[in-house]
Amino acid sequence: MVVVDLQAFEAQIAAGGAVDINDPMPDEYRHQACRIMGFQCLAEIVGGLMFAEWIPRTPSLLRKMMLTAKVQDEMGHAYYLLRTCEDMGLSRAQIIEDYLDGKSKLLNVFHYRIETWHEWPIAALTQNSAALVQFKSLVKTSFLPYARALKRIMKEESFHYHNALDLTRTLCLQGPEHRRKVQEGLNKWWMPVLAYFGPPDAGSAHTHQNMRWRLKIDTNDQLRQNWLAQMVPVIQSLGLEIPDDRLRWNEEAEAWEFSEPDWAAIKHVINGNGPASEYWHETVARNYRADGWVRELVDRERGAA
Amino acid sequence: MSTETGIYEVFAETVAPRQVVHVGSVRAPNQALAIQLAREIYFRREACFRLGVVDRAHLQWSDAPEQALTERNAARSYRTPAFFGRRRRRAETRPS
Repeated sequence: MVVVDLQAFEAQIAAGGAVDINDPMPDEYRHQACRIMGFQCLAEIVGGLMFAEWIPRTPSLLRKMMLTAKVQDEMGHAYYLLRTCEDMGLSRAQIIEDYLDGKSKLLNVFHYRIETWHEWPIAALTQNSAALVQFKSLVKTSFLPYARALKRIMKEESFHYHNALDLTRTLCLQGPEHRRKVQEGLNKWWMPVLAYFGPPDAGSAHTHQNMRWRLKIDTNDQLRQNWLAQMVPVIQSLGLEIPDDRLRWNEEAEAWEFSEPDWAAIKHVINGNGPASEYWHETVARNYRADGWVRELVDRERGAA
Repeated sequence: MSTETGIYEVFAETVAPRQVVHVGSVRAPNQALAIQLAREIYFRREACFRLGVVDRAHLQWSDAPEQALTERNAARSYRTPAFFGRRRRRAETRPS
């Protein structure tokens, strides 16, 4: 292991330098980069499952194919990330097993389940746009393998955004009864997605370090503002009402005001007490067990090759 | 870098201009499955003329980054395109 001079490393990053996988880097930087990518990898997998269960229930062949493409993309995203994780010593099995063993947690939005056909496009629209806002920021990371993966991911994520926007609009245009059902979906998903960006950065040492290393680019609050700036007009243009009567643009502060999510409640959800926390945990565990024979077969072949 | 076996680097020959670029890697039991997997992972939406895989163990890189070489070449000014103009201007401003 190459010993890295932390000061020289930080000076290099501060000067706009970037780090590739075989470059010398402090162990803690490597650990954080790997952790961030592994976390997103898990989110892509569970996020994919959330939509995969809608493929058989989708009422037109074209929409079925579009949704299938989206789910394949999510698994592809997980794959771009996990190849780098594996090169750094974090295996794909470990990423799943850490979640199953309760050692890693899912993002708050993956503790819910999409329950109606009218709900999924608005869930996808809010989630995809939030992810895009986050990726647009993170793509400026100093860690090059992550930047390269995000570039590919963003291109596909933008397909998903337009797919979700198209279906939301189509449903809203089908009359007040349909729009009312989409509105119910928005009422359910608005707050979780607003909270998706995480609590206001309290200036923790962790955050400071990752921002100094450009493993994190913008604060959670800044990302939330970026998302509101982008999505409030889009949602309103669909004739939907944002379920927060405190939401308004503050001219002086040049920022959106909104009802602060109940962070204690969100934490409770993330700790496995959301309405579908158990459902997703069981679903991932069941799939992981059921696919075990494929992994064994592939590993045996790799061993024999 | 990990020393795991069965890792294949994936290259794509782009449609226009036909140029080979590295796109990522896959883990697969053999070459044929590596190609199949690379197709599924990297080219579901994107176009490419064809793609290829190389077992990482067979990929030989130069010892050091080539940056040092580039810097050395820049120091040999007669190898740079700006050399002729600079030389002419110098000659013109020289007192006769």
